[in-house]
Amino acid sequence: MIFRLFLLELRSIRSDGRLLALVAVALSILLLSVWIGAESQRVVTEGRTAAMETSRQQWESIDRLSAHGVGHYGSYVYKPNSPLSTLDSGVMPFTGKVVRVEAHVQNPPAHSDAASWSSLVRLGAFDAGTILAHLLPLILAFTAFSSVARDRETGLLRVLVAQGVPLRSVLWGKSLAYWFLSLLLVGALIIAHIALGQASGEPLTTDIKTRLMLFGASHSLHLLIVVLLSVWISARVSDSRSALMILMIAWLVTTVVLPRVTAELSSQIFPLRSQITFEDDMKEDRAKGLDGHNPRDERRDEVRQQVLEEYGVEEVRQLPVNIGGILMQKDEEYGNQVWDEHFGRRHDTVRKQIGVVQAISFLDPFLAARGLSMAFAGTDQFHDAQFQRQSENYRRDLIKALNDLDAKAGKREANGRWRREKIDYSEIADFQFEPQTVDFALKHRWPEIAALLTWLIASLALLHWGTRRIPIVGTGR
Amino acid sequence: MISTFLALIQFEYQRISRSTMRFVAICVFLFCGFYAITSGAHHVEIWKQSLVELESRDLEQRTEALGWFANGAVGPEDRDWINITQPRWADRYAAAHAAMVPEPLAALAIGLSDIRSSWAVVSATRGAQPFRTSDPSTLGNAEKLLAGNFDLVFVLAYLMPLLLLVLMFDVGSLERDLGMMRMVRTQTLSPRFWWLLRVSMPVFMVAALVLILCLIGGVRTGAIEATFDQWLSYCGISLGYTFLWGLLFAAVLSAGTGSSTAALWMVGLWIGFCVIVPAAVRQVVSSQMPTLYASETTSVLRAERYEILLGNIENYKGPFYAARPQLSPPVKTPARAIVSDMDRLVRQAAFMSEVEGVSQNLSESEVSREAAVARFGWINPAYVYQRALCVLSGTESVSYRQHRQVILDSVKERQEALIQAQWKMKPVDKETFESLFSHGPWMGYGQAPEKGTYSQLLVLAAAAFVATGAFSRIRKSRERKTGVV
Repeated sequence: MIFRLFLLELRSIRSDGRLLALVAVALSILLLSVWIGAESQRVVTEGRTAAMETSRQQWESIDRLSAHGVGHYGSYVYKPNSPLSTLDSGVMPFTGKVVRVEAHVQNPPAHSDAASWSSLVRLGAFDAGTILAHLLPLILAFTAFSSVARDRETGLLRVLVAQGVPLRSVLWGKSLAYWFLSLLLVGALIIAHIALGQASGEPLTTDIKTRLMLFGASHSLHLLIVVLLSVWISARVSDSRSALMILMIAWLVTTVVLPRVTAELSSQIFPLRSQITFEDDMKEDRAKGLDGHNPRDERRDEVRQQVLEEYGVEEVRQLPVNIGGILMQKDEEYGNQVWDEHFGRRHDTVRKQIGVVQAISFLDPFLAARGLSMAFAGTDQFHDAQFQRQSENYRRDLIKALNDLDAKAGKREANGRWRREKIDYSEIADFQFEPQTVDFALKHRWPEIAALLTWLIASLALLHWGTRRIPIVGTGR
Repeated sequence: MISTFLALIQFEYQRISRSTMRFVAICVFLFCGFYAITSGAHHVEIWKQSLVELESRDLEQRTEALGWFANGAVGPEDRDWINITQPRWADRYAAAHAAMVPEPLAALAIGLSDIRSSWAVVSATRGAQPFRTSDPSTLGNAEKLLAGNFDLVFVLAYLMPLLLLVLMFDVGSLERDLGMMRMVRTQTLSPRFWWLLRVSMPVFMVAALVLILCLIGGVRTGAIEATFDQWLSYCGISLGYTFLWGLLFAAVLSAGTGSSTAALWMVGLWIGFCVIVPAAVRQVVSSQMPTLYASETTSVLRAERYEILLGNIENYKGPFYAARPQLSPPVKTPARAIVSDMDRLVRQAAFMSEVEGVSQNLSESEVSREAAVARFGWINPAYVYQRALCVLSGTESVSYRQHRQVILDSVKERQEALIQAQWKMKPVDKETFESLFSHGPWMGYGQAPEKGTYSQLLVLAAAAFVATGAFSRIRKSRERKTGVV
């Protein structure tokens, strides 16, 4: 029976030109977004390759600098785009793409897209994730708002129920029909993405396949929730105009108002300290350590004594190593503790802020869908933090390698002076980004998965058991 | 006519007050407006607090240095290599920042103020700061930035058209749904007047609500008192935007469809103008003019800077003296430390020229990107409206470009002051030291929006007006042919 009603509703949708036009528009927008996204991805990837080549060329042409000087000269690390960022750009436009890697300081990523755009950047992105999570629910609500109300107003519902068709089956048939439409859109999107990826020669790894599948599944679940609730409201409310208004206000509150209010709320509950306080506190803590450039530092003297004892000599000029490099590395290690403490506290606060949003996603399925969409596309805050962590690890390894070279690459001359050897810096490897697997996304986004499943169960329950007070006859009849 | 007018006002009042959903929609809109004003004010408070912290940091450092002057010392006792009578140390201790001070209206149009940094260090010897593009206090949580602002501009640009939609979608179309239109036409003196009044009533009502929110915002933020003209422009543009949407929806209603079709069309317009067009324009322009990886900037800040620092000083002296005809190389060879300081300044000046060049290129590429976006302005009203208010409030990209230029100018002024002091071959005295504090203006950047803003909105309004006429004609001809009203 449900299948028959499903087919009946599909036929009804097919005969309504307005609904077909809406679906066609949604499909065109989705496909267009994938195509433009793929084109942008290509340009950005080329840009990153060119930037990396330029930076590497500059690095390899270093000539007259000591190893420590090279530490100050530094390097640049360029953030790669996730292969699925064409589907959902997530936080990428708002986070820096370039990290300056240098001695003594941990720099945050800089040069974000948003920092060189006008306020247009505030008006949303044209990607599949946004269209599926923002627009498609509205389109579905607009197609489904009169699904039951129309049958009631025309008297069809009364006839169906009089013929023994359970009301529950009617709602199921209609819901499945609208969900089927959204599944077609999601399916077309994924096929288009794979086709474009294959055409441009991008590898389709198991991880990407899994991510794609989960991306599609999370959006499909969200859309199923939207459809179930829309059909139920259409059935529960006596006239279609009221149903339309309820659905529109619900859409507005859940996708436009609540996400912004939640973001504000999270930053008010767990505020981040201002940049100035953050910098001052770090500077103060940093000053407590041994300053590699301050010859009067007491801690510097302590380290010098330890090194002299380690090598069993009495004077620096007798050491077989350059003490400068050792002191610099000790200073770096102290600095790293300071960065870990302060940046760590900052990351913790951000995690708590995201935790608030995740908790509120139990009240708003859109928040859950958006979080999962970004996570499966590899473009959420957690994935971005991984880039920051890896670039900082690279910085630490690079500076340690340079300080070791500064300490050891050379020899002590007879007059006690340290003579530096010429160093080939091109042997030092460039930064290599290790992408996260899908498990990483699942590990950080389980609250959203739980929220979406809770909403799904609640919606199913509503459709199954919430039919008792649904009016069969319209008020006008 | 007057009795019709009064009767319609009474009817519209009853229509809204008896519809729970409409009443709820108005309340939600007003609540969102109040919340947006409070949220914007909170954001500006944090901004101001940052500037207070900045000021106290500068003051602390300057006071310490002035204390040395007062005690006849040149630096701290435990660091005898610091000598603030030398220009390079004077630069370090005469702490100054160029800061963007929030305009009162900034609370009503946050714009880019939570993305871009509103201050920068002014120093001739501590590297170029105009490229500080991120503020970790907000960039700490990019998901918050992604969610977007909740300021009054957002409420007016996004939510106001939806309120208008809720109040307007069944004006006339409900009568069609119920088959009452023929009766309405026979019972009114002028059906056109009836329709115009019915359509304009919700528009004026929403305009009044918009004005109330602007008024509350103006009082709450002190904009009415401090910058009345700008506040007035804010109200004027907001009302214009409200009437524009009224006109667009009137065009839909003039087609004479049923209420559900009218609602679909209105939502379509809203989705198109507030969601799809802005996002699509950004994506298209972004793919044509990508921001990429700032290779030019990073090259200047690293490779070219080191090339200057390690290069032959003689290569830079020529352009240095040519640009400053009032200076000449010292006749007698000064002490080695002074020569080193002078060389350092010569190199810094050469580096500064590179920074100016790359900053200029950066600004030009931003301007050309915005020009490309502006070409779609007449179909992108939400963005044009938002931009106009952000420009007024000093939180738009143009304000930040000016701010960046001010930072560059301040750094350059500081550099020239230090060069003058260095070439005098005398220690920096207290007065000269204090004069360095002035390098770092604190100012707001609110200004009148570009003229193109109004013309773009007017083009769309004219198109809506023409469409209203055309749809009305089509409806009449359809009615004549079919006889169905």
